[in-house]
Amino acid sequence: MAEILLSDPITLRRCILLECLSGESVWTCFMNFCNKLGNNAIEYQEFEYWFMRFSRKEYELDYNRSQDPPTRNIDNLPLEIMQKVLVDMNVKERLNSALVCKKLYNAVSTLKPPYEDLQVIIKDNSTYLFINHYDYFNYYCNELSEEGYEIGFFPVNAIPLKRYKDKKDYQEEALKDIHAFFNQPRLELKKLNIEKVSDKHWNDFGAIFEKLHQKVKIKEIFICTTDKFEELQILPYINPSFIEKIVLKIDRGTEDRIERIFEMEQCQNVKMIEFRLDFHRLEQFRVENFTKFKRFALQFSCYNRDAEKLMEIVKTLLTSTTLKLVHLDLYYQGRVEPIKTELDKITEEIRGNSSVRKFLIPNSKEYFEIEFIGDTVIRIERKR
Amino acid sequence: MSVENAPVVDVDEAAIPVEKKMYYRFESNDKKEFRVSELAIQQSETLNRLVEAMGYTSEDVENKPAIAIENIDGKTLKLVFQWCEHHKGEAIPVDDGSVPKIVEIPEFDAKLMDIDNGLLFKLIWAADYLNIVQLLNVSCKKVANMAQGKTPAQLRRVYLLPSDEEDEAAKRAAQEAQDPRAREVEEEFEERKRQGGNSFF
Repeated sequence: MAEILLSDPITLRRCILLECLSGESVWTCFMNFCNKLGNNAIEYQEFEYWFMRFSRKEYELDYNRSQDPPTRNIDNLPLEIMQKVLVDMNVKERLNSALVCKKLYNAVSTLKPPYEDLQVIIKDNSTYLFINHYDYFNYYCNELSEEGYEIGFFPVNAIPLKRYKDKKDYQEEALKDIHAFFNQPRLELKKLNIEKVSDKHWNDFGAIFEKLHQKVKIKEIFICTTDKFEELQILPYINPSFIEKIVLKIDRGTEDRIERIFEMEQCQNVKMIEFRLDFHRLEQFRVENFTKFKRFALQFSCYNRDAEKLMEIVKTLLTSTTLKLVHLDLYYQGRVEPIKTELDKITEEIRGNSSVRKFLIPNSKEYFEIEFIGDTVIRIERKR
Repeated sequence: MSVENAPVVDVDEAAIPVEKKMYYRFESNDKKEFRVSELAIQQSETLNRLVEAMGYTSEDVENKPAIAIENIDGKTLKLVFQWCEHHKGEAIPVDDGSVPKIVEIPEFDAKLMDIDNGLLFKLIWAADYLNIVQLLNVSCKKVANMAQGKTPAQLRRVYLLPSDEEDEAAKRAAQEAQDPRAREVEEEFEERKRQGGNSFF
């Protein structure tokens, strides 16, 4: 039956006319048409041509198309127009267009990608990739995964943009996609958060960065590291002239490790490097290991509440000859008060501001300004 | 930020003839003639500069031959001038890239662009050639909207892309042209296709 219809152009056009009269959009009518007469029954442009004629109430079924001037397609458009079209698309549409043809792929790769914030969570059996701060996410898992996002980790109605589920090669797919996200020539990320990468996947994840065509432009990076020195695997592939803030969650701040971080080009000129100290006791901690950095922050989330030890840290910082700015986040309320009391003894009050004090540096015109911010943070900044 | 709120270049009110409207005559490459008001022409930077340079009087526009637009056919030019006449006197948006713009397609434009893609792409090409900023904005937006909810394979059909054979020929031509980026793009694209044609979404 379909063959008979398809072999007669006039009958075929009548079928298109019937679709047109349904009042649906041209694409919906085309899909309905293909469902009835076969996926390859007619080229879209042929269908659309007649559909649009009928929409304009031009009902000549035997109209001779050869009278019309030749048409153009998107492939004939200059690159700057393709870019203009692509800029009007959302993240998903733009990146789907990149897979249509090489010319569109090329056009997409010349544009700044429409994402500025990525978060990576790689567990043993599943991987999440959050895009633009939870606006979108991709989800990959093998059959052992516990379906984290469906059991309350996210809103119940959260639907991933891409769901690669119950597949043995899920991790390979996830890593390929992460590589594709990073490998955009004009990528400029405001933030990359490597929240979690399970031990068994760290090497494969780190290898992604080695394969990139250029160093990634990231303003702020957070790396949750362990004692395997993972930051040393990632940071060398970050564009050193673009990075402004580095946040490392580390479980040990040994002299050797901090020295190696300090030597990296990426850490030399960064506006702020923050260390979130992920250990329980302060006894082994030496603030001297960190004072090579001119501007840094320390977050003490450890349970130890040894005020004396914390005061010792502050006093050591006040003897530094290179320090420009440090933020100490003592994390728990009640830790700042004893330090404030102690500092009152060796600092001067700045008139009109009770939360700021001045520590005069001996034999110098410079001083340290000490500010207590909120209940947990102390800012120490060199001033002249 | 909407286009309406974007920085604009004011249309030159002084150039608007008050007493007698002047209509220029244009001819498409298939010899179709159009009469277009001076105010409508201001929507096209290219045509506006052209008529300014010609310095025609109201007698000249009637007596001299129609101005030929060699690259555009009558069907496309009709749409272009319909758009210009409808939007005559409106401010022309300035796209300096400083603010991301959100383009909205007005009802008249949507109806005008209710055409097949072959003609729509010609309209875009003409808007670009004649430098009609807002027509280019809305027509590009129309093409972008086509991507909504479609897979790469469906987009290939919608965008009237060449067959694989033609694609291969284009690939060979690109390699012959020794474009340094061509091979790289080729490899990246093939790599994505090897992944099963999935996007990374």
